[in-house]
Amino acid sequence: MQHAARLRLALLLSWPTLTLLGLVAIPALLLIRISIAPRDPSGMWSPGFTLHAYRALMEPELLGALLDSVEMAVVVAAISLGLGFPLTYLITRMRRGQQVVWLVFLLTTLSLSDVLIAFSWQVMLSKRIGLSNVFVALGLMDAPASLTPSSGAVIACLVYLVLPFTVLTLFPVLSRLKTDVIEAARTLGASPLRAFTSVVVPLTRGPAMIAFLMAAILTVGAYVPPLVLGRPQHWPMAVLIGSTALAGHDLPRASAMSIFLLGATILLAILTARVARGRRRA
Amino acid sequence: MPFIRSAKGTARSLKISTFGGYFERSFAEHVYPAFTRATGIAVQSIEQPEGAQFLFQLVEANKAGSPPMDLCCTLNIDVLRGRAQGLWRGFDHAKLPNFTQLSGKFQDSQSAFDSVAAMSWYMTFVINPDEMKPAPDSWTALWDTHPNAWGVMSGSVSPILEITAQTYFGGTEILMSQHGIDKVIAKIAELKGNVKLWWQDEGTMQTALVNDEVAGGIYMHDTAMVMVKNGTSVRSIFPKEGAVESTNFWCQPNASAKTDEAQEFLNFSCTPEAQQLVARFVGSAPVIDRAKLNLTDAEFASVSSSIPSIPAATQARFQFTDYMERQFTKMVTS
Repeated sequence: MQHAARLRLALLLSWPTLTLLGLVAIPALLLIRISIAPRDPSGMWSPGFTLHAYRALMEPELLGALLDSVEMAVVVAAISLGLGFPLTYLITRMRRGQQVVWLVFLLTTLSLSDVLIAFSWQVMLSKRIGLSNVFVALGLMDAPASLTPSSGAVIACLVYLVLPFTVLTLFPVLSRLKTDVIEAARTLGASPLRAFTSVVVPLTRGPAMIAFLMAAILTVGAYVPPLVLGRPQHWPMAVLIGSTALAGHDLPRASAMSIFLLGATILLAILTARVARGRRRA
Repeated sequence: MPFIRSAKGTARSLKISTFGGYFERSFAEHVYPAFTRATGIAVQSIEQPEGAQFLFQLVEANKAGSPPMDLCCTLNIDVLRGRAQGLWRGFDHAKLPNFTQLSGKFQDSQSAFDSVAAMSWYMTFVINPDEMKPAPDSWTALWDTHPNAWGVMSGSVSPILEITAQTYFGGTEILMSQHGIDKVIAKIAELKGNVKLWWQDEGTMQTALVNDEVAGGIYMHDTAMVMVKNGTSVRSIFPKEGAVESTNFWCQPNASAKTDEAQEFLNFSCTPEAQQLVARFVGSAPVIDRAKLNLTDAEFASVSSSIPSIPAATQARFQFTDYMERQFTKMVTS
């Protein structure tokens, strides 16, 4: 009887795990399967096995695109952590009502599609009605200019997209952070900077690294912003995967490229986890 | 026996799909009603997705015996892809007496009679007349000194392949080999300093044109005409080498049971009346010679041109899609 009850409990609790496994494992297996299939010019892929798609991965422009993806992810994650941390800290120090307004505002931006956001940035950075006109009015620029396509435009748009995630990840930790410990450090003679680096940073390193990792993973697969706002020379892997699959009709090659990108992302995650853990031990 | 209806009373119907949005609405409002009036066959208009997934999904649905439509509007390359997978039903010439009304090039005997030209559309030299004076009349202007001026479609689907082949290599036949494709792409590489925007999505190019981000480039004639109507400062030019003409075809997934109704629609689509509706209300180029149509000069010019077109290199693209895509990406990202 007790055994049956325990079994029932186990089954009841295991369904989220099983669902998650099914939703992740089945598409991943399918991806692997297609990556080792021969191409079919009229359809998706044909039965059979070949490593042709993987051999083609060693081309310099694909390695370059992979590096571009990782670099873009790291830069965007670093900027959104740099902006998101102080922003979250400020929000947590506000009155309850103001906090809610800020959090609702940040959540609202998540409801916009990234396509819409990328196009808005394209307009915002254009010569005719874009930001450069504001800079000219402020005397910062001589004449209005188009600010796309450029890496700066891509990064600005991506930071906008991931910043809410960074804030929402940091919010619980920073709101639990006691001001007493900072005050204690200050009373003991620490400068504000010293209090921040020796008290706040160690207490929040783990969550900050999670926020960084999340921003990086969200960015590594970015497709629309680099396509619309970036130069082809810096198109990341996701854009090349898209054109290989959709325009090139080469699903095996696109799958192999996806697995390649997945590998790089996992490596990035492991590395970030190492950094977070390694420093904590020291 | 009042409960048995005669065959005459049975409503005949057909499900037809076209690309979503303006296209689908125009067909539903202006073309299908004329067909229903002529034949008594009711049409249910369906939106079909664009891009690679359309054919992927249709092949699976057809295998399961339930394609979502009886007739679909198919890009020329997807006609070939679908044919290679045994997706389309063959038609009967005897049931389509109007087929001979189509322009000669659309009557050429293909390996199978499984597709009927529906309408054409052009990729033209679109410019901002305020920034490009005098207006160019040849594609060679793309290669003149105009740093960061153009928006050009990127990838294997881009009409720049046909334009370059026709303008510099005497025709699109050169695209029928890898060596030829390399030569054409090397010529396109000379454009890189002039191209500000290598676009994949037409919305990106439209935004760039509206906001003066580019002085011109290659764009769809029909969309450019809509932009002109909306007050954007653009002009669509048919260069002397010709604009690139793509054609959409009506095809029937072979699991559809509505063989007779579908052929009646195809026969209707091949009439001057139907093609005039397509030109006037859908904004696409008719697939019947102008002499048979009662379009005014303005109506004809808004959808087509008397300058011979460059036909889309569909066969080359079907055979070498992956190679074209790889080489193009290599060129544009390096």
